[in-house]
Amino acid sequence: MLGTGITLSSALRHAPVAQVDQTQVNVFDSLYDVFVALGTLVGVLVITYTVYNAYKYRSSDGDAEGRYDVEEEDLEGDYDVARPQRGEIPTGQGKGGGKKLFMSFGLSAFLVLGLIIYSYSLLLAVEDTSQNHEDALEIQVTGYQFGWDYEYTASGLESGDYDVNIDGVEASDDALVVPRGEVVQLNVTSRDVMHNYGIPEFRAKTDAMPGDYTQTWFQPEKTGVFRANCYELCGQGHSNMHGDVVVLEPDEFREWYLSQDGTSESDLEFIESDSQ
Amino acid sequence: MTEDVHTNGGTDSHETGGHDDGGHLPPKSSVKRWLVTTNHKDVGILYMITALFFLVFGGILAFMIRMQLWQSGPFILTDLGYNQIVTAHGLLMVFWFLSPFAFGLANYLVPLQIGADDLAFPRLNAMSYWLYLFSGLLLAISFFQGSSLPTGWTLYAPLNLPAFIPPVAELGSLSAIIALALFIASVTIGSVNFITTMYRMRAEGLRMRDIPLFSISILLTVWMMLFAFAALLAALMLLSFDHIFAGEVGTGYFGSEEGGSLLWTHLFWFFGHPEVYIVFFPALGVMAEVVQTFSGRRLVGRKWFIIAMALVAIQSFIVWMHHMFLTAINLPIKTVIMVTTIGISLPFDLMVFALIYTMIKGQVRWKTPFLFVLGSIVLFIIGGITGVFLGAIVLDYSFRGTYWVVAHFHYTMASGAVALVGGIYYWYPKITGKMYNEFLGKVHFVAAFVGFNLLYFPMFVVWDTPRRWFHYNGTVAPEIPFTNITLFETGFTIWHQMATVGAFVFGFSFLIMFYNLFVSLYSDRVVDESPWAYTGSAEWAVSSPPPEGNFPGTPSFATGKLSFLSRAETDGGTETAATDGGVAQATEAHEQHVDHTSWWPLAMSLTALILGLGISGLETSYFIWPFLFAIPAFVAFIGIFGARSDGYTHLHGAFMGASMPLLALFALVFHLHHGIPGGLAEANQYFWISLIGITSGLGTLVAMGYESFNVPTPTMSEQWPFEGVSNTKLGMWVFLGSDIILFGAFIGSYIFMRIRAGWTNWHHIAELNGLEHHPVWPGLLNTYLLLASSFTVVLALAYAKRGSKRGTVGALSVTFIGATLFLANKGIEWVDLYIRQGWQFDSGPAASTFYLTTGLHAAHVVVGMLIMLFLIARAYTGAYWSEGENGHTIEYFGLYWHFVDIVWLFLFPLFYILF
Repeated sequence: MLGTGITLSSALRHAPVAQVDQTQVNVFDSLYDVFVALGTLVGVLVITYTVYNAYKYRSSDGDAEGRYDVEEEDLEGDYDVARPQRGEIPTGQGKGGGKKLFMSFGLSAFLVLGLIIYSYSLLLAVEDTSQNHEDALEIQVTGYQFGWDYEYTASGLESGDYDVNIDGVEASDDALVVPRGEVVQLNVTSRDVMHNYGIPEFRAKTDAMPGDYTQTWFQPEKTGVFRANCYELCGQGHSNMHGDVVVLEPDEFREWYLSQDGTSESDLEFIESDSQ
Repeated sequence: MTEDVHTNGGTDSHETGGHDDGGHLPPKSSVKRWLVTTNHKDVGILYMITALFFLVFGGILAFMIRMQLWQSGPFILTDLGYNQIVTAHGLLMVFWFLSPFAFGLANYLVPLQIGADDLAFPRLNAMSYWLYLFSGLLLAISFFQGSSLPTGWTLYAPLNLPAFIPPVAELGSLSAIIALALFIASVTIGSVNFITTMYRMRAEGLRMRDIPLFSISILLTVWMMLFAFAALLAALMLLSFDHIFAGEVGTGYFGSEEGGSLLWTHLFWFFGHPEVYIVFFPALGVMAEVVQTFSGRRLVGRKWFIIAMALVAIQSFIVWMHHMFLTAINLPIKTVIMVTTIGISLPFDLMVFALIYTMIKGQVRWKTPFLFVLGSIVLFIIGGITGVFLGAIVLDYSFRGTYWVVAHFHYTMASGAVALVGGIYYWYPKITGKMYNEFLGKVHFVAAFVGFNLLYFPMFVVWDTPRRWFHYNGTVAPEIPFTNITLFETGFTIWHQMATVGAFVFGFSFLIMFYNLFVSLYSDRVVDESPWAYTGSAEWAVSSPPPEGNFPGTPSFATGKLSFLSRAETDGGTETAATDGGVAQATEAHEQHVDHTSWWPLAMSLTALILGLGISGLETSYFIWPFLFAIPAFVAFIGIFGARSDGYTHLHGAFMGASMPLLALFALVFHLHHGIPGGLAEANQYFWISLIGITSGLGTLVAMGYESFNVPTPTMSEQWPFEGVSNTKLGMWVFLGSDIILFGAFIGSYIFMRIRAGWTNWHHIAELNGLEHHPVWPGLLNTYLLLASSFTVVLALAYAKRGSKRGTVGALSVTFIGATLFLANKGIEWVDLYIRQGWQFDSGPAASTFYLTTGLHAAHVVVGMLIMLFLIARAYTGAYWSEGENGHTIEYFGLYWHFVDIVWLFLFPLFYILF
């Protein structure tokens, strides 16, 4: 348990850079799984320990005669345990329990440190792909009340200028269309209030802030029609602010993309040169 | 023993005849008692009952949310309605229930725990309560002004601006914002009060580290409150400015292109994160007390517990950007915040373990308070662990805006509420003198614990539900972690339905408590000082309920244990006063008369409500007028109240007389601008409401200033580290601390926006918006004027100490004149900028920041001038050099005035030289 954090983080640190094998889904799942496992373990242990002790040291005395609580007992000789007395100046336990406290504190610190290191390494990988991955499909996303507009950076192809008439695909004309297996980098902003763009299926999410740009990315590994939702309250239409995300096989994507106005073959170089 | 007899050492300080100037409290059965009391125990009870009312209000809203989410589809609420409910639920629970409830307990218990008779400033304490109640009332009124805020309790920009708020909600939104500002006033006054009390009014022998844990948690809470709420107030003031003066997109602060959206998140969360610890800390204090008592063992690692708490309090101010991981902040700062955030779990770890270890080898009794606290520890552990998830940035990238966050913060915050419920049961016997029904208490616990988990745990399972959606269409059925097994074909529905059922179970469990606590009042289960075994702190050493004066003598820990010294030996150092033994002697000449009642806190808070309501609907062109017209009224009030209180002098006549020409002057200017009577006829009702509010408000302040309210300072108390600083002086310093943060946020916002726009680009932006020239010399002249006036204020103090009436009045008057010249100079400057050059309040970010920041400062100058008028009237009648009064009041004012001066020394370079 303790070593997990350290080991995993060092393994990841030495993994190849630009890990296109690690999609956002993979990264999230691994981190989530580790945290859930650890969290559940720690939670169950600590809670059990707590309730156990509360039960084990339960007083067997009943309420004292005519009173609402037990009779206070006089402690002789048990120096580890000090009973509070009315009107005392609290002095704490003295030597009882302090060592245990430090041990558990130290243990948690170690665990927490491991988690920090592990999370940080994954953060670096995610941010690296977001900012620096060279062979990616770049999309500008603009949120508005209450939908999403896209622009394919390479060609300037914009929502409203393209249609999504693809056999076997039922999606609206303002959908985002992307190829399977490629890194898609999103540069996100808003034209009115703050929104948040998220594709839960592919674990892409970032704020859409007016006057600012934020970045995220995803690499879809399956084809189909998925949803992009808004995750920041943006007005009355917030609950219904979602768009379609269409993932096609690379060939189908090429065919669709090139059939739109203003696109060219050179925009799609990233599909060829992206090493798998 | 009846409630309203002073039990100080057995002597009776009877008032003769029909004296009713703040002495004895009326009986508890009378309504008047509760309206005029300033006693901390009464105020505590008022807070607690009012907070429980807001709990019910917020809880009903929660029911509506959960009913809406029973199934994903046809809904019972409109989209605007749902957004309002979600917003109000958050605001009510966080602001109007949790903290005030904790402060009800704090009000009641802190003076008892530290051995004080009351808080340092009893009238201000009552005012805190009434401001709190009326601010909540204003929030409730906002619903009836069309629609209330629909932005979520986080009020994100620019959704919080008029450009994006539906017109029907505009009035209500501004009311809600002002309600929050009123609440902040209440809280700031409270912080000043508690901090002063805890540092200066402890019983002899009680060092800071000896304070019982609940009071320590309150101390840390109020320190956090002092600084955090000032930042929120700044944000709300800027937002109010945007609402009133800057309507269009691209103008004002939060609609500006210089990162208005990001600026709001910074300001809000700088407040918002400490806020959640402000909400939780009192619960932590309750946990410590209850675990200690019901384990029958002193807290393990008490010293480390306190250090950990203090560490969290400080650290809470450097984690706020973890609410902003998905915004446009850069990677290095995200990393730092990740470390501080995950790191803050460590002191919490220590505290939880300390609580757990205390139970070991204890004599644990599973009574209702303990059950609730044990339950809250379990719930907090779950909440805390899931919080660490959120600190791992990559996980937060997916959790953002989902129910993971909702479940996490309910587990932590609502577990705090559960602990506070344990506190209710724990201290109920102390407050009422009766024991509640233990069986019903246990039933309540079981229902509450089951309901709580049924309500919130499913939210973790269906965490992918987006927040603030009134349905969950399009979501996918969750899988068991590490497997591919889908949980239930119905997708999210079954889990949301469990949560809805849990909500009702949890909510209705409170009814058991209300019933229990109510009927127990009439039971025969009378308790003595300590119905619980193994209690330690001082409140358990006095009767239940405690006597009006709290203690049967002056409490002292000098011997290492609590003892009560006879009051006559310790009050005022008299030798001839009667000692305890019940002999009533006419010792009025030697007794310190203590005041306990005043109408003014209630009255003043009521006027604040009226003013707040009025401002919500003030039209831009009418905005300044109610405030201007109130000034002659203020001057007249000083004359009238002063004559009544100090005896009529020519100065009072002069004040009364001067108010007329002053009113005529303002009326003339109004006529030039709007025309009389046309302008008055066109003014909407909010103009009149504001006018009534501000005028009567200033009147109540003057009356309160003139009211004789004696609160003797304890002669034997621990005062480290403020031995040489009087209560009022310490209070002033603490208040100035929060004012520093207020200005800091304003200045910080200016710097943020200016850096975004390009620091050297600022003047150019102003020019694009109409500015022709922005000369430096008016600012320089104002700097000299203020510096000179600071000097004359010191002179006034020197004269007061020497007992020279002419000198004092003269020096104060010169200071006043200096301030007037400052304002006149600024007025000329602004007329040139605003009218002649057309560079208006919303003419771009350079204009907004300039006007608002220097305007806030000018408002502080105006407040100073109003106070000075009062001081001059008082000094004229010799108020500041009588026996015992060594010009102190002038010194306190001087502190404020120097602060105003120093702030200008920052504003002048930033807004003039470097413009």
